[in-house]
Amino acid sequence: MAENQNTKAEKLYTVTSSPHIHKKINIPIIMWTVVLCLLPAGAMGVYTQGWKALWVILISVATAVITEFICQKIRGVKVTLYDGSAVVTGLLFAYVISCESYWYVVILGSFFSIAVVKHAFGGLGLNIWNPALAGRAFVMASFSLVMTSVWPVVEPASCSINKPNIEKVEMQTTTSATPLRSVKQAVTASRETHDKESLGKTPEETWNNIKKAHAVSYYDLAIGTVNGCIGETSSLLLLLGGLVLIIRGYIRWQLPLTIISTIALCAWIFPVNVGFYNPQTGVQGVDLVWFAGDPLFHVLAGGCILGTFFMATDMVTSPMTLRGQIIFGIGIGVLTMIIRLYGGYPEGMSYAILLMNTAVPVIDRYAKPKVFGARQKC
Amino acid sequence: MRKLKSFSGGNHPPECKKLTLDKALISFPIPKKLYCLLSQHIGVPARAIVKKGDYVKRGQMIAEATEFVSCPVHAPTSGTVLGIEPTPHPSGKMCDAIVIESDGKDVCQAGYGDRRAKIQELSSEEILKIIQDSGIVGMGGAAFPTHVKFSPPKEKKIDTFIINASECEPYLTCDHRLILQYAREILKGAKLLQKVLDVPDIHIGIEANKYDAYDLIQKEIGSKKNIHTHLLKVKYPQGAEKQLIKAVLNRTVPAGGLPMDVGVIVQNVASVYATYRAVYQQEPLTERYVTVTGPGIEHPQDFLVRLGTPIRNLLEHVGLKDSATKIILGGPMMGLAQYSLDVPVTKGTNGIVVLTEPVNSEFEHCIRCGDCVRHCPMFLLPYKLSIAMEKGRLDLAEKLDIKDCMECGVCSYVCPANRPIVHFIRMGKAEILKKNAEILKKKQARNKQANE
Repeated sequence: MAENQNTKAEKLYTVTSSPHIHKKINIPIIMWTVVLCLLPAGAMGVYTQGWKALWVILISVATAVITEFICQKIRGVKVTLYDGSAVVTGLLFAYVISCESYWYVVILGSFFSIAVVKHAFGGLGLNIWNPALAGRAFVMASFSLVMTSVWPVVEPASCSINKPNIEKVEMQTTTSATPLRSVKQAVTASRETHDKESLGKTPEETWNNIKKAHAVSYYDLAIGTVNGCIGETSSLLLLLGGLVLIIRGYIRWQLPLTIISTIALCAWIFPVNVGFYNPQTGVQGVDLVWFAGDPLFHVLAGGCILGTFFMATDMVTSPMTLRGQIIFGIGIGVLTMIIRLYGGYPEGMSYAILLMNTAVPVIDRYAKPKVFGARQKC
Repeated sequence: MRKLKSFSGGNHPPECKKLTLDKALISFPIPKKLYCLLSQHIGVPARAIVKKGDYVKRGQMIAEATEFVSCPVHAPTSGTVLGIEPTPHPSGKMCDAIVIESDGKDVCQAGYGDRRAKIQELSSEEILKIIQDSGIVGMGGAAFPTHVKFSPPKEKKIDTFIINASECEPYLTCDHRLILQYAREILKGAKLLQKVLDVPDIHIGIEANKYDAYDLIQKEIGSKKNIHTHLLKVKYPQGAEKQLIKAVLNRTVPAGGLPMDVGVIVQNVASVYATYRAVYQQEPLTERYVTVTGPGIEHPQDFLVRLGTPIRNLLEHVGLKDSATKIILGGPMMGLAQYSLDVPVTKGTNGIVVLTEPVNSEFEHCIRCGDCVRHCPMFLLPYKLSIAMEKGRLDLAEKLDIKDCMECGVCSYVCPANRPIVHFIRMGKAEILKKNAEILKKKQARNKQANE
């Protein structure tokens, strides 16, 4: 044996700390799966809103990837374009803006997402807010008029909607507003209108009229033939992608379920503030209507499904423990409905998620699991 | 089918047990030279009592225990002592070993063979003495001296004895094969340990992937009432003491405590069998079952191996592929990687796993996916511990109960960022030990000064 060692240097084997086997998973696998799960909804957006949408998506993704590359070069860290996280951010940013956005708005927002929200905080894993949503918040604040008032007109797939009283209540809505926006505008208008005849005799009646006038079929909301941001309209395709992520184990089902059920519950319970006019008594006023909301509408409309399955569940910016995620989910649901019903914007999902992202460190601190066998703290 | 017992947390890595599962145990030929490490157990190393040139017979004590928490070492075969040489230890350090050149006759020392005295008449103290003198340790990997484990302090009331036959590590099958071959003997050994502890019940925990072993034990038990078998869910780390107790008895060992705090003592099935051999056949612990397996092995096989056999002999026998990258003593989740093939088999070596996967030690920032928190069987926050140690924040790590980590490796296994979480935790624990030792030293120095 000694001769053997002399003639041939003995191979030394690698020594590492245990465990020596590793699950077949890494960041690129997760990120590219998220990209795949997002694609169908984007394709639907391009189909309903035209090639403009595709341009917005491509500009956003390209900007995100280039910005990531530049930031990593400047910071002197390993360039990790292959891991797909910049693509996810670029894609998500495009999904939450209108396809009518100017090209420089898209570039600016996507750049802001990656450079400021992600890399200024230390890169993937260290950002506090969801980059795409923070980018959206940035462009919303900077170009609010462009971002919120110009929408493409999408032909509803179900054309046989019965719209009675449409002339009566519809006052200021533009024909191309998103479903959430048109309802909100109608509610606001009912409080401020001088056209008493258009109001119902009781707040309940006004509210019912508004609901009827702005009814969008659930079918349209589900498949995505409504106005809205590029990737948020097709709830069904997003749900499909979300289910794939749940089955693959990348997100936990409890968080989406908490958010959706909270939104549904709040949408039903939370009062709407509408105006009414009773011709018999001559009383015109404003009052609250409780327990009259439409839960399914609020779950399917706007960015609820996209935000629930792809943004709130973002690993980096959501709590670590199950208990924390449930607190996080309830917070998102309640804040979303407060902003949607009483805030300045028709859509509150993105701000709700950003606000709760801010609370994650606190949630993580208090929603810690109890160590195995540890005594109950008094 | 009824619900399988288990614990919360954990994970299920690919088992890979098929490689050796259907092959019966065979004895491995005694090599020319055997390296009997003096430290094959947790505790103080044994002290050699033979010198160069001595002739020893199989089973003869060649190193004695120096303290209570220590274990004697016995000659694995007959032959001449070549000397005491530093030899690679599974832990990666060098450690003294008694080198024996086999004479090929394998002569046993007098007294070997069936015990004349009636087994039933042995008192529990006598059985414990035999266990101590036979050098029996926990053979599941940790190698804690059995006689220490079975002498709990008087204030701890022990009411249950659990035999750990879960073998939750991937690849390893030697315990499984052992039960299939020696179920009756294991039960006899269990009876002896039961007598030592003076407990009414014996529980045996077996993972559901060893259904044939479970079946066999049930058959052997027959109508006996005080032996209970439990089929456990196949999940890693089912064989960890605290998790096993939780699954079998639904008792929770307090954090920082030992199983005896809830009245339980757990022993590995191979040690129970070794106890049987020691008491019934007067054989000290000189051989054990070892699974030699993995993708880097041509012919995986479970062997009965004499302690002290260098793993080189074993690996050459089964065919070590050139593509091998890592050689692990123990299972792939908690085993120790070896750089050299000169490491001998010790009392705690339950397997040799050879892997061929390239070693990737690059890791990223934690992406906070939460998988480690979800899977941690001790309900710790592994991601935070690893970040704390990465930044050198020992204080934070201590606050996060770093000491409760049992290093099972589930967190590193599931981490998508490939973070060596367990390694960071080990670093932290080592630093805490160092710190405590320093504090102790300072205190002693101060006391000395005060005395002077």
